[in-house]
Amino acid sequence: MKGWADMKTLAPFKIKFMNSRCAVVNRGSAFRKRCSTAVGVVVVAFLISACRFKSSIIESNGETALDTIPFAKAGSENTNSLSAVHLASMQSAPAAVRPDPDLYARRLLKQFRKDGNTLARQLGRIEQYRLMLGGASQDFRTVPQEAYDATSLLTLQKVAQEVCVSLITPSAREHPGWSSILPEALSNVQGNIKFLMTRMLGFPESSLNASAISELVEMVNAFPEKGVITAKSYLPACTAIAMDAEALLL
Amino acid sequence: MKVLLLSALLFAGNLFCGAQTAEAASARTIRRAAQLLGARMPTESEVKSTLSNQSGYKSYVRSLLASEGFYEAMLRYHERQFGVGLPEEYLDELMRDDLDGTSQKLATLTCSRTSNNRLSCGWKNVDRRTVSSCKAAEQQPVAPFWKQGLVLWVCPSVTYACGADLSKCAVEFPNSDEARHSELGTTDVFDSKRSVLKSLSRQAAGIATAVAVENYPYTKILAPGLTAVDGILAVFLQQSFQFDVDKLHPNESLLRQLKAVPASQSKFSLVYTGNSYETAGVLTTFGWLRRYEKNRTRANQLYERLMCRKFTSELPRVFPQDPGNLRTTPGCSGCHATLDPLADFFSVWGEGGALYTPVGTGKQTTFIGKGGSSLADLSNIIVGDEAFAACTVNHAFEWLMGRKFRQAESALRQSLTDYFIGTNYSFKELMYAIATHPGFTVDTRSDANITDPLEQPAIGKVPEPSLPACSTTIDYNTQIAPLISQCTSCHYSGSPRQVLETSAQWKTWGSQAVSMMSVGQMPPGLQGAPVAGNVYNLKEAVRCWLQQNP
Repeated sequence: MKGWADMKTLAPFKIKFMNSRCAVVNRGSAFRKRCSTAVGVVVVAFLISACRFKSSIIESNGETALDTIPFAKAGSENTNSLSAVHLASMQSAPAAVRPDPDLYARRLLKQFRKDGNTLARQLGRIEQYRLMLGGASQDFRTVPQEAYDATSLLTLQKVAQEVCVSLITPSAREHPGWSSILPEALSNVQGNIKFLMTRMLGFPESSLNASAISELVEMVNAFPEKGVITAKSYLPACTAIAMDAEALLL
Repeated sequence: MKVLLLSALLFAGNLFCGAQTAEAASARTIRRAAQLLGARMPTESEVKSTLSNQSGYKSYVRSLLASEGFYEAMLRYHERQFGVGLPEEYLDELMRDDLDGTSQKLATLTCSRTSNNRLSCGWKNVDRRTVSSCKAAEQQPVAPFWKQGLVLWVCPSVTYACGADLSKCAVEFPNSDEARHSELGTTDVFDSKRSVLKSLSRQAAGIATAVAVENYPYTKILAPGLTAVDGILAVFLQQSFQFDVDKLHPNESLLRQLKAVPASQSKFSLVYTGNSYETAGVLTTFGWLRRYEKNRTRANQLYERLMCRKFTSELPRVFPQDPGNLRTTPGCSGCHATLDPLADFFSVWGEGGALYTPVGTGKQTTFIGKGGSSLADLSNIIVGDEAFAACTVNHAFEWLMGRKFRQAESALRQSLTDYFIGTNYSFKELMYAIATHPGFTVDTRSDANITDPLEQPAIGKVPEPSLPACSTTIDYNTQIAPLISQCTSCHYSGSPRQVLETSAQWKTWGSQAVSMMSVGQMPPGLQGAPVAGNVYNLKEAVRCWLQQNP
């Protein structure tokens, strides 16, 4: 009778579902076995009445294809005309652009991590900071901030810290399946710093400022744990890179 | 730690030494292009290979435009452009509440991981507790639609009611923040309500993005009968027992084609549902119509977002208690004489909650001197005006350059507009043209606040691409007469239309015929401005012939 109770709870929906399953032969046999004869009669009655209605549920079985879009495609590059466009001058350089605050954390994390449960959970954890970071409201009445103010800058620092923790010192409990992104042995501070800089700033190693590298190395060396450089020692330097002028504005 | 972070902040200066070198200048440009066109940071090898040869940067921009990331970048670009986002209550309006007489209206599953790391889903009861109606041993494995390879355990009643892939029931996961950030197909977590809301909010952006990525003319973002759906919307539109889908007025063709959109598809696909006078692409998505719920708001938003123009007027000093007809009242008519007739184009769609009532009949009205009664007419009027192209150029320029056009850059905007129109409104080519402009690739950065912005694009100009020079002499008998049968099948002697059978008649009406052919209005059935073929040849021959025989 348990099956009946189960069905009773869902009775209002069953009619529709049965309706949709009219053409589907495979029914829940385990469920049916538990039904009494009387229940079976009711089910059949439901089924018959439901099948009178046209099914409103369409199985997504990929049997059909989308109709062809009846529009001609747009054109391609016209070298001569493009040259003429490039001759028209601009009066000033491009303005610095702030990375989209709604996507900042996702894009930073996705440089190192694949989409998946852990990434979604990590982004969920920092969701509370998104609006303070300058993100858009759900209905876009508040649009994403294009510049920084004190609040968004301080929030960015917090978010960068959280992201750095998940990248450099992930924990098995909070970040299952993730390991530290540092490619070199922890004692090879310069190698790890160069890696973080090239990946987080998007510049090749040859373009990096040597004095900046040494300052960041010093920053790591200043925070050993019990005299030893650990992954945690890299967190301040990682945050510093994320807060660099080159990272703040494109 | 605080001191340390402070020092980290103080350190935040310039980690990048390359501002002085040519190589670094390009690296900065590559990074910006990768972020804005590819939605990601470039890899070190990409930067190196791009810098290693002369044409490397242009090839790199091309590769970005062809990449997966371009879709993501454009989706976000259009989300910001259209400003459509839906609060949760709009989805609540669509939920059915007429299933039965009880308080449990919706078949909802709630899923979680059990202690043995098994992911299982059970019915969610009215008191928000999960009801498991079978023993663990009786649970069956199912493969849910939102992630390939995922195994969920459910009671037989669940499979029975929700289908083998659970696509027929609402699904909830306890952690809503995690659900919010779950990309379809990549995580175990799925939340029906959030996913549907996200997809509905993005549908307008999805249409424009798919048009741009598939390189259809950008004018098609307003094409009657064109929409876009992703997997979630396909599932949603087929869940008519949970949602009152009819309220969205989906047509038969759309419902039929949904079968071809897999539930796990995360990108929007264009769907053409046949020409329909009441629709106009982006403007008739649920998101646009519900978010901008009054006809005046809908009109105002399209005027601003698609034509880059604003309604601004000085209000009268003493505002009349009853201003009467706003279209004629002094102080009001400055805006309402244009805004209200424009709003009338939306009259087939109800306002606010009345959006869900049946689609009405159109009202004869005008916009920028052109008449019509439907949104299809409005769509033709908008894309038939150069302001639409110029406005699109404005937006694309601001996205990539981070600033508006300056007063002295009117020639640049005009040449970009001409190029955009000349490529038959290829948004990809527009992006390419800006991203490869020498002004974009400079290493320095300027202020985003422009004190001398270029004025709004003028309205009322017919879009005309930069035309090729008429290098050969055109002979009517050999180069035009053989092509006019495309016109004379309708425009013949005795027909109610203007006759176009002789050279004298072409002399008189040729100019108008050329302009109609240029924008794809004539002959009937033309899909956009012709770029090749008989219509294009006729148009060019007549244009040059008229020029040579004034």
